[in-house]
Amino acid sequence: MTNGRRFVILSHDRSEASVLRRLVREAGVQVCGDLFDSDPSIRAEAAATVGLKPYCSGDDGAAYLSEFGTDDKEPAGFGLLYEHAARGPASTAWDFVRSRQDIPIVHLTSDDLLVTWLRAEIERRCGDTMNTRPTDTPSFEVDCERLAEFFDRVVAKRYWVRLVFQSHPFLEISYRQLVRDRSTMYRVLKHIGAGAGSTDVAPDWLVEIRAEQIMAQRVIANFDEVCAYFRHSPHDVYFRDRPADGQVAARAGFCPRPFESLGIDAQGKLRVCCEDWLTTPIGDIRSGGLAEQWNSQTAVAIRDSILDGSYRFCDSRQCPDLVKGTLPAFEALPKGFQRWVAEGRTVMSNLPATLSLGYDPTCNLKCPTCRSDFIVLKGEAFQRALAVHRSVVSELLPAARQAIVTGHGDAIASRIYREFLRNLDASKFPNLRIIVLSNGLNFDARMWETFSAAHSAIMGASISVDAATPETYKLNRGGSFEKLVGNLRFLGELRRSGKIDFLEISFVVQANNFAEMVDFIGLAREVGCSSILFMKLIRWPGTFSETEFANRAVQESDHPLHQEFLEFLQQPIFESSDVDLSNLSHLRTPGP
Amino acid sequence: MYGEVFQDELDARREGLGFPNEVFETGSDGASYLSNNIYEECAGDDELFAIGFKLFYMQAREPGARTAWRYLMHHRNLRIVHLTRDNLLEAFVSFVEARASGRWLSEVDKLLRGAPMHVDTDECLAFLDQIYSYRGWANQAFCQHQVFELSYERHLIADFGSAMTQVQKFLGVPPLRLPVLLRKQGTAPIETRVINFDEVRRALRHTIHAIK
Repeated sequence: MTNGRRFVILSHDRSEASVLRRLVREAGVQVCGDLFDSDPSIRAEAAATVGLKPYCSGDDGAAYLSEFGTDDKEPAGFGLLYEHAARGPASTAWDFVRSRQDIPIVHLTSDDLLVTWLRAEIERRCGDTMNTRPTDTPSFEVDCERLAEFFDRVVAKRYWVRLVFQSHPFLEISYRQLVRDRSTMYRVLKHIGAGAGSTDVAPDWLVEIRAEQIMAQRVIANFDEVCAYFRHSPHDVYFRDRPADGQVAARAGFCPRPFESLGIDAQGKLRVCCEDWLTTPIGDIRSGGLAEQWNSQTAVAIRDSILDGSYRFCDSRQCPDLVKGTLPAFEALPKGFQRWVAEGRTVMSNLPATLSLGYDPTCNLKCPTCRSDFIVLKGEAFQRALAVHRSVVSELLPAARQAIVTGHGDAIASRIYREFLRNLDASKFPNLRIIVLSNGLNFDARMWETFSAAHSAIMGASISVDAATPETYKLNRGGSFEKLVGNLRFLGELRRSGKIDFLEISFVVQANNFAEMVDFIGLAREVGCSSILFMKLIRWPGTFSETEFANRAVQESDHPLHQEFLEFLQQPIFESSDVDLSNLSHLRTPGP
Repeated sequence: MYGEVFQDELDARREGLGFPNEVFETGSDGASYLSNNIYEECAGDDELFAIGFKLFYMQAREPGARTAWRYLMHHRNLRIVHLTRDNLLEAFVSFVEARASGRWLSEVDKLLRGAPMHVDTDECLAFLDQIYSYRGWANQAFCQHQVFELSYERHLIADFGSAMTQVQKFLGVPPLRLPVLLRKQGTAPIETRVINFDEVRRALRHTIHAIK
């Protein structure tokens, strides 16, 4: 028995799987509908399309499927709804599909479950399958609890499908992609081994469906009540800021971070991006294993928001890539990530490639942008952070390609990170590259030598400075500027001699230092930095009062020095390739 | 610490609040109630270190009351203790048992031993899906708050004393040694409490709630 040419279309009820099947069939591929429908006549009709005897209630589902498509040289597939074969002997059909990890899975989902539900409800009421228009539909009352049950059921099952089929050849597409994006059908046909391009993948009847818009406000008689019911609920998203034409404003480009990065912060929250840019954690260190939480419900939802282009978890005012519009296009993505995007994968079978170690906030400084007092982990808090570190090293580090030490605190001041760098044997982690983030005050030649076993793994350093003069450094940082510059010169030498690949210095722009930005660039170039990063001041919890923040936040349009700051930023030096204005870029008018 | 101030039943709300506090009136504004009766009522009382109440995902969902959620989400200085259960099936069975007996908690030395019960698999799955859905939402909705994730099984049952010490520390209240006063009903193995356990197991088999 071979099953290399079989495929399965998985979907929830009302997902318009029939549209996908029709498109596949019109491309000359054998595919049938709901072999396990509760209605025997539908089962019989589905089976007849592929010359199979219908499934009889009480028969073993796996045994029935083992007969499917065995004689065919061409691909053959069938549709399976989440709800089908759920009970009794039929349920072994799921065992069959789960156990055959060479069977390609096409997972058809819906971006907007409200529209999905409504479309089917209109169909049910009007008895028309394809051409029902909301304008012709009398409005009707919606039972909120029934609708909520539908949402809950689909959301839970969708997550389950993504988890259990992560080792199969897996392609997830949405109904919206199917009707709007011509390339979707090419991807489907390629995925199921049917080849592509042999047929018109956007026939007229599909265009007609695409033109149809579901106007929820018009069709649902009690729309306001339904909206209020779902406010502050898991399904709020289907009712919030509904675009009139059903279109979702999508961003161009793809952010790879949530697919490959995992950070653990000082509160034990697990994050797939910098907290300033994406505030929602995907889990908590106390809630379970790191590897397990890497694919948590929230992690999957965040990845979904990247693939659907909504970026709804992201702060577009803070994220440098969203501010600058520099998210890479599909073609510019690394091959592995291209594959994830193309397959619509949101459950990752790989562990994170990039780790951001942030569980020890210890630092030798108390910069006002970061904290109001010195933080040095001791006693129980130190032991807790150490336990997290050990879990990271044992569970995640072997699979990681990059480790950022540290996103919060100082890599050298922290005993945990310092010991990590001292004891790391780079030869045991040949693929690992480490980036050291530090204020640089203790990052001198002697310290560097203590990391000798890790030298080949350390690819670079990023040093936070925030000033170009001793006076401003004292205000914004509080250490010895002279000592810092000496260490920067040493690190610059490491870069020039090729011992590290890059050296970045960073600068949080405020009212008291923006006038030093040009001098800062000069300092960076003089000591041998490869890049200079300027960032917006952000009000972190436990730092500035509202008034103090307002006094410092020169990027805000109501700041008295804002206009002067804007004019300052127009200097050509800020266009240099080694200068990155990151989330301040929008304040500079591009040169001619 | 108040009980379920947004319980459906007026008597239960009254019980959750205790005399002489003003009970939440059905249809009135949930946010105002929290602001005026739960939190502000005790402001300035030096003997109080923290004030809190219990809220289930599906409570305060009626018109009026539902603004309580907005209040909680907007007040990011509130600390959230998010109590979850790893075994949602146990939670459902306890829920049905309590619903049948009308008793939601039993004293530790008076453990009730009810007759084994039949579980409606459709109701069970809908309940589990709902909790799953709301738990994910709560994690996202309160991500800007300070949240303490408290697992019923891994924290409360495994080591009640240590769990309560951590909760008190999280809330910033002076730690007290708290005795175990209450025990959930039905602590016998679930297999013996559910007549159709095999049927339930099969119904959950190909779902996110599969019994391991």
